[in-house]
Amino acid sequence: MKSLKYIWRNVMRNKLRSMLTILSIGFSLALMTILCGYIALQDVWGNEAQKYHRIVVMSTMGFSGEVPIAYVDRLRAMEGISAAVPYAWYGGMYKEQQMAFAQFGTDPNHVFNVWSEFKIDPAQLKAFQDDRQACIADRRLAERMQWKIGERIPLQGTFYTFNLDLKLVGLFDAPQNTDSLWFNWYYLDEGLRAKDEPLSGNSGTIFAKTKDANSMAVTCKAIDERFASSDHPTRTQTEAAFAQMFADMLGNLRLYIFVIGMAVVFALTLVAATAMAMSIRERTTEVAVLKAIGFSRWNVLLFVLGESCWITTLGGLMGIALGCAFLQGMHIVASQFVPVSVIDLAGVWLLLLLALAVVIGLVSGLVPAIRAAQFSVVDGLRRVI
Amino acid sequence: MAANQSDALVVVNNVTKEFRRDSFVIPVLLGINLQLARQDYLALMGPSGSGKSTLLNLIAGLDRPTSGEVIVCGTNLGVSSESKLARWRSQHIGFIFQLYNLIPVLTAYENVELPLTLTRLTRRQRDEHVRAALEVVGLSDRLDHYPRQLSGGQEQRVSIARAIATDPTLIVADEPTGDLDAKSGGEILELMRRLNEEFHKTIIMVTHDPNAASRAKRIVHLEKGVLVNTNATPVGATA
Amino acid sequence: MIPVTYNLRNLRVRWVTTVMTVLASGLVVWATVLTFGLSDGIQHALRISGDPLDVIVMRKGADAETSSVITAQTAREVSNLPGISKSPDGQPLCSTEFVTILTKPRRNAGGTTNMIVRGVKPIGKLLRPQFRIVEGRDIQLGVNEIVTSRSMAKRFENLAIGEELEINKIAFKVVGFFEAGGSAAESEVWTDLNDLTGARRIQGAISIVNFRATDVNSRNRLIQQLQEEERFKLKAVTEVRYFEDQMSASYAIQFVGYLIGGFLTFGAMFAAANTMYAAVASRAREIGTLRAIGFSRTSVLASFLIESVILCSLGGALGCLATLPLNGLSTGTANWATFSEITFSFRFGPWVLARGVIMALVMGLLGGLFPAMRAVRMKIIDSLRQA
Repeated sequence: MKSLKYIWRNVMRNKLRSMLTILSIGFSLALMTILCGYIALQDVWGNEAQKYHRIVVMSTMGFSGEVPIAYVDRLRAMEGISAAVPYAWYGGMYKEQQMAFAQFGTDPNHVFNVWSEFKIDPAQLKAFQDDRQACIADRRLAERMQWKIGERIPLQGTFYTFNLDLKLVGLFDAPQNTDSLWFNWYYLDEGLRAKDEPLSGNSGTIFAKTKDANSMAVTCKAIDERFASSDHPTRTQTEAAFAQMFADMLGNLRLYIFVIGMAVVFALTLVAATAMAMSIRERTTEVAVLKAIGFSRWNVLLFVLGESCWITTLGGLMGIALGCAFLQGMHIVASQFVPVSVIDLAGVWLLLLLALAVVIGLVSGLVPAIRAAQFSVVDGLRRVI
Repeated sequence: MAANQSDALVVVNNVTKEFRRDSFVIPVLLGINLQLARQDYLALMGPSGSGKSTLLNLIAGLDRPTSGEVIVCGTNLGVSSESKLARWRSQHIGFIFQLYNLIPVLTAYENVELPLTLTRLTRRQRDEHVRAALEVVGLSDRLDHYPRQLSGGQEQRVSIARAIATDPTLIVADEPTGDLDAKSGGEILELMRRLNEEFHKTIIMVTHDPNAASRAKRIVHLEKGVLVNTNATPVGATA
Repeated sequence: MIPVTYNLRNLRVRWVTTVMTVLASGLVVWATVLTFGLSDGIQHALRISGDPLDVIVMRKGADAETSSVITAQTAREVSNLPGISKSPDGQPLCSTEFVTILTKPRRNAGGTTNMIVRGVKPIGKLLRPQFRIVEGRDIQLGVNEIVTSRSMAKRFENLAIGEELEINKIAFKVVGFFEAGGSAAESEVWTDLNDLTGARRIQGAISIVNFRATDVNSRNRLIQQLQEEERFKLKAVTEVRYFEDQMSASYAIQFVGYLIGGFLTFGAMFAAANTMYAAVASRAREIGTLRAIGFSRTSVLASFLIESVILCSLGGALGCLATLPLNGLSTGTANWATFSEITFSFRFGPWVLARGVIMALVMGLLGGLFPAMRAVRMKIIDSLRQA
């Protein structure tokens, strides 16, 4: 295409201006990439969860309610369920630090049947099952905390009155950084019962794996109906829906990011339009010559639009690259906040951002393009003479 | 040597042109009649503000008359739409400007090729046209030079090559030597003579340089929007 | 010095470019200030929630009211300690409260989230800043009634006056809205202590004790006593400390604010540079003339820098002003410390707006620097010759 070359030359004509516009768009779209990446991050758990057809049982009261431990066995006996474990959020302090990482009490004998996609060395799993005070951790968590196998990990309870004295016996690998530590639920419960605590016997939540994806809804309903009239009615949902609950807790995050995004996009359109208008104003004569030679208004319009789109697209590419680099950097230095690599996070939204850059180019180029297409050839040429 | 209306390439019939600036009406052309035969070479002279560029713009299809008609190559320009005029110009008119008006970001070759991109020619045919045109103006060795790397005379020759590349019916030149030194100007005028005699191009040239005008076959004078002594034959004319 | 009016005239002459640049920088300042307005809103809500003389008593090791349990016996002993303020009718200003978290749906299909339901005795209201009923009426004891704030009613299903909220299969009727000076209490649903523990079937359960000390000395003495004395061994913190520890949610938002501010400052800086380069290019002759007349390089540099700063400051001012209509707009997010929703209002305090202004100044100065340097470097003769 002959005209593409001409458009490209025009982009490069005032290198400084194009560069500044590209940088301006680049930095702003980098921010958009990060914000959208954060939203995508919220959906990762939910999307990921859909693959493994797990369900979560919690109390109708929410997290402060009780799900009796006896329910775990009853669930295991149910048709459609292949494995079930208690999964209690401990929320303890480690070295005076609150919420340094997630800690869950669970059943070592069944937990890898529920999270069948997680990998652990069989010898380490055995060690976890044999020792009440044993615990295992996500490999990336262990790396972050610089733990070695055999390390003692004391946890001070905040919600539970029983403090844990754990020993790290194994590391597991999950598709994404779970930033979690798993310990034996029965160790916690014995401790609580010895103190005669009201919280004993509570599994917190129950995670169960269904035999196939199709039966999930039916199974959830069956569980809730079974316990509906008991003292501890349950609310059972798919892991994806459970994940969504956490995403929902952040509130109007999407709306907020959308508002910020709109402001940024609008600002960018103004920035790009100003730059384009300056360029076209300087090129009045040239546009007149093009028209005199016989280029139609449409041709001129497309030249200008093409140029502005080129610039904003370059800015978009730069921004997306910069934003992804930032997210990846966060993933490396703070994987508890960005547990997912950009490669797993990437999706249609990146293409949409690029499309957004093109749209900004179109909209910002429109006014200068129409003006260029419309102004009179005679006036444009007169300026020369 | 007034041509018959039937075989005239350019017919300007009782044309007036006014410009509006705010509430003022400025009459520029007051009833112009002019005819031009094929292969003619007309110099349009007159002092600044006489309306000669305006007349040239009308004939080149860049502007429309306030009244009267301009018929060039059989097309009545006054009634054509803007987009139609653009296409018409690309087929029939070659422009030569005082300040060359080359596109600074394109090479000599690409500048000449520019109007050809509006035609249906293949890439190869375009290449042939471009090389031929640059050959005519004697710049075959400057294909990849950018305008700023050329002298004024060379730039104007590229602009002439651009004007003839599409093999237009009519070449319009607005003060083609106005910005050049005597030597370069002489070369350009010689080139235009060749275009007229060897390549049988019809040319209209606006100039206020009598020397330049003397190279044309015919001279008309425009004064305050009116043509005077249209039949004056230039000294050096070979008619 | 080249007079500033010269810059203002120039900005006015190329007013389209000026308006566009001002709007663009205004928008990015707006987006940034908005974010800081969020974090300031949370911090404000938490900060004013704490009265310096008020103390929250929890189980040792508990990190929030929601994870605390205290026996009725202990609670009674706490209320009898000397050094606790008295209410006008002579009762100790000491409130035993039960706090629980319910997972409830938001309005407008906003998903579900956790809300705090607090069971209190009437004395509890005296311990909250400016607690007053602003619509409907206060609860009656023993008949399962609740009051909440207007912003909670807007955010959650079933919380409008007349609607009923289900707690463990028992319906609680909403009878009124209260205000508590914008404090964290406005993120909660309040009911009678006994009604709530009754519904939860843990009659007599108590989460925390909240009391007001008579003065700072007795406050400190009481805190020490409660922490160390063998019969208590409790966690006692001032309310101020307690709420400060919950500000993690606002830090995350603040981080986002700096992120947005940082990236957008760069973005807008380049845009301002673009505008200023064009201004310098189109005024080459003027610059030459100014220099020829005898203005120094420094004055030319200063003049262009000032012009750039004016340009961006106009944007900054506009952006800051545009946030003001949102001041007080209520919103909410997750407070991970209590694992529940905190509602608060956007707040654009002076320091928040100052950050917007600083941002505008930075982009004006940095964006104007290189164009201004180009203006200074121009050779007088060349620039005079330029058309």
